Amino acid sequence: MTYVIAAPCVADYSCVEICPVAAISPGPEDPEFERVEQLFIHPDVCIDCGACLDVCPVSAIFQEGSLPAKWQHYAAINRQYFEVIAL
Amino acid sequence: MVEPKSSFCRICEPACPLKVHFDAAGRPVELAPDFDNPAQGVACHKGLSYLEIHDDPDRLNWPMKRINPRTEERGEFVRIGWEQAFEEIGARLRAIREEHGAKSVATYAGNPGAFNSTWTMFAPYLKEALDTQFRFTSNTQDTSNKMATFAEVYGSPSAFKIPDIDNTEFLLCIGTNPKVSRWTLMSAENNWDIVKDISRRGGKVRFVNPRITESSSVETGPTLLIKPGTDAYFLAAMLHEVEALNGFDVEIVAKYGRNVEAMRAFVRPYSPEVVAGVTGLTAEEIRTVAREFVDAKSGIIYMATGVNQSRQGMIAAWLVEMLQFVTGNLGRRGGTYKPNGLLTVCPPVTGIDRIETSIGTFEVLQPGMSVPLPANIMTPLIANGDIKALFVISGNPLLTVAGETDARRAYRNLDLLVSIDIFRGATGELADYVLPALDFLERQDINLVGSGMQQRPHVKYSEAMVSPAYERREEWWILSRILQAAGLNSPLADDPDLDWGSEAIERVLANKDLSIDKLRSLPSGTALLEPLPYDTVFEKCLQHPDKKIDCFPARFVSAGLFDRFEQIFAELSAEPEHVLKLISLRTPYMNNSWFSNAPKFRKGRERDNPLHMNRADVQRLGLVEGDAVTMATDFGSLETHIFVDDSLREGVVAMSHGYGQARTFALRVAQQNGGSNCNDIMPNGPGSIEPLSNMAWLSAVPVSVMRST
Ligand code: SF4
Ligand code: SF4
Repeated sequence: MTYVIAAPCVADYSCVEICPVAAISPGPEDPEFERVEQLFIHPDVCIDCGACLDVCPVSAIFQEGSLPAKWQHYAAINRQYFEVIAL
Repeated sequence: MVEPKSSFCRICEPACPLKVHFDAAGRPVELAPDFDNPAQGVACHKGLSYLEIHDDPDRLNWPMKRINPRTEERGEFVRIGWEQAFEEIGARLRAIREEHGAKSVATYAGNPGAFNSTWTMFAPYLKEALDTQFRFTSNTQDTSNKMATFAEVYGSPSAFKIPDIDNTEFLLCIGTNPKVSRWTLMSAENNWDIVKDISRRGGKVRFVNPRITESSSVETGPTLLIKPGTDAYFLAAMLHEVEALNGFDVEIVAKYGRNVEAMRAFVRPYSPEVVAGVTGLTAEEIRTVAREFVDAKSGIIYMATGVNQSRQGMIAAWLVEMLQFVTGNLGRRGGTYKPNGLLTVCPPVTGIDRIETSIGTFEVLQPGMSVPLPANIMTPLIANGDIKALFVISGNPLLTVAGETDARRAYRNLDLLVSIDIFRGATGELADYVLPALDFLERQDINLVGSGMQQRPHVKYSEAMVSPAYERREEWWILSRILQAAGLNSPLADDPDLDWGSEAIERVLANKDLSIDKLRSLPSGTALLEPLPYDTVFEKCLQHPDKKIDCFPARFVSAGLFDRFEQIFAELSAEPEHVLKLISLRTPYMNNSWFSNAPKFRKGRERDNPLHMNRADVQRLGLVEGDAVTMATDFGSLETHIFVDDSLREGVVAMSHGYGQARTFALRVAQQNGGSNCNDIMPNGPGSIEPLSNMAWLSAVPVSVMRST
């Protein structure tokens, strides 16, 4: 299971700092950080610990199965980010 | 290149497997989940961030001695050597015992000790050697109602059973947030999917809580937003309803039950209609849950800390046991059962110790340490001079026991206060001596506390991942040396080099034909144990001489628990509208008062502990988010600020603890971060304690909140 970052994300990186397995990208050091509009969670790296949930100032993070209907597609958006990066 | 090593986390019950990575000098530099451990479970952010604690520059490194009087809040500490520490503490202990008697010495052990196998095994030794009745632990802040209930119902305070989450069709969680707390009195693999799977396979998951917690979601199940502190009435109505629905397993009840009629008669008046007003739930909601429980082929009612702390944990725990038993869900696949473990014996109650003090007589069950004296009486006993010396082992009673203000005053009276810890915390700041202990990366260990409570029974061994730096030492060694210096029995008396810790571990491993060497040779240091049949519970846990389950224990009656249940019902029924109740908030960023000094977890919103309040209450009180407010109980008041939180039921406010450490000068992060200690204003003194269980009242406490002036 994974957590997913959805539309409200403002690329504040509190979640990047608290994630214990570096599942959230890009971090402020990464070259992509300036270009992206939001951060993404790698679904195969996330360990479902929930630490990122409450540190998000805009409540943009959800358990995948609990994504509000309007943001269901963000599960795929998060996954795709890492597929593209891997290319 | 230093190979990574297998270890396991010792912060909470799952004891999650870890892979520890090292730098070239052999220092641990990264903790990762160990996905290969055969017992499974994935470590969470707390365990994986433990290096924040291990490497904390504020850790205790040397024995320290306070050289100014305790009347001064800030201690002036000087470094001393171990020999001096033992000599001085030993001499003072000896003198106090000579002047005031052995019974004037007290010990308080905090929760971290439970996850430290050698300390757990040393505690009975210390009890014998000190020969004092004043033994306190954090159990009476979070869970002793369960052990006290097991003692009466099953005849053994250790009759622990766990829910069979993997196979159940129905799970009802009351007053608990297992997604965040990772279960208590149960060592399940840390994997929230095991709960989601119940719904996925067509089962039902329900929560009863004054707050919609992180555990309750579309993937698990909904929450019945109950009024705080009324769970016992909800459970009584559940049992009432189960009977009305013919949900009793007549055969099982006849075979194992005793005093069944009295139990039935007791719940008969508590129909869903009768309890609806007090619980804030509708009769229909209660009926539906009862029907779901009865209709499920297997079911679990899992109740934990929120209820334990709400003044009637005994009655609630008894009702939970009754519900499991009468429906045939005790000892059934998908119900509750007794798993295999290193230790699966449940020692029977052998007697009751009556302990005379200046504030009355208190009863403690023998044997065992699971239902100790109430920690809430420590302060008056110190103030009155019953207790002259206090040894605190990995604990922080000043902050975690109700009534910090009174405790600060009382602790000045102590002739000797010794704190053995990895930090100089709030209690340590007042101590005459603070002695540096080991963290879990610095000591060898086995997962003893989870034994007999694991969903996947196993034994794990971890060697020390790193040699202790500075002059840090293990608890059992420090205490053995103190005993020796005081001329008391000590394992080190005959052989100062004795490795008592390893011997103790070997002794307990031998129960299952295991040894440290054998575990070392296994992948991830882990041996899986054979599962036991579900109905083993009847053989292992029923420890009354007649091997029955007591459904209406006589001591519940004589201690006045049932009368109290009725009185509180009348009290709650007559309660005016809009009485705010404070519950304790479990967040993923704190564990007891651990992590209060970890910078990573004390950022942004987690810097302090605001008062969470529902929007409707915020508006009714004419407040807005961020407003500074004063929160008061009959026992004191504190300053905090408002955080709007609609996950709470109206009329409920919530706060987490471990904060308010402005006077904890040696923890620089915690000290500067502010917040307030909500335990300071919790009910304290003898009247605040639940009879039999000795539990403190730390949740569902009436409070008033108003804008600070
Ligand atoms: S849930 Fe935990 S592991 Fe997953 S992204 Fe959030 S912090 Fe990282
Ligand atoms: S769940 Fe508990 S035992 Fe597991 S890693 Fe987290 S804190 Fe440690």
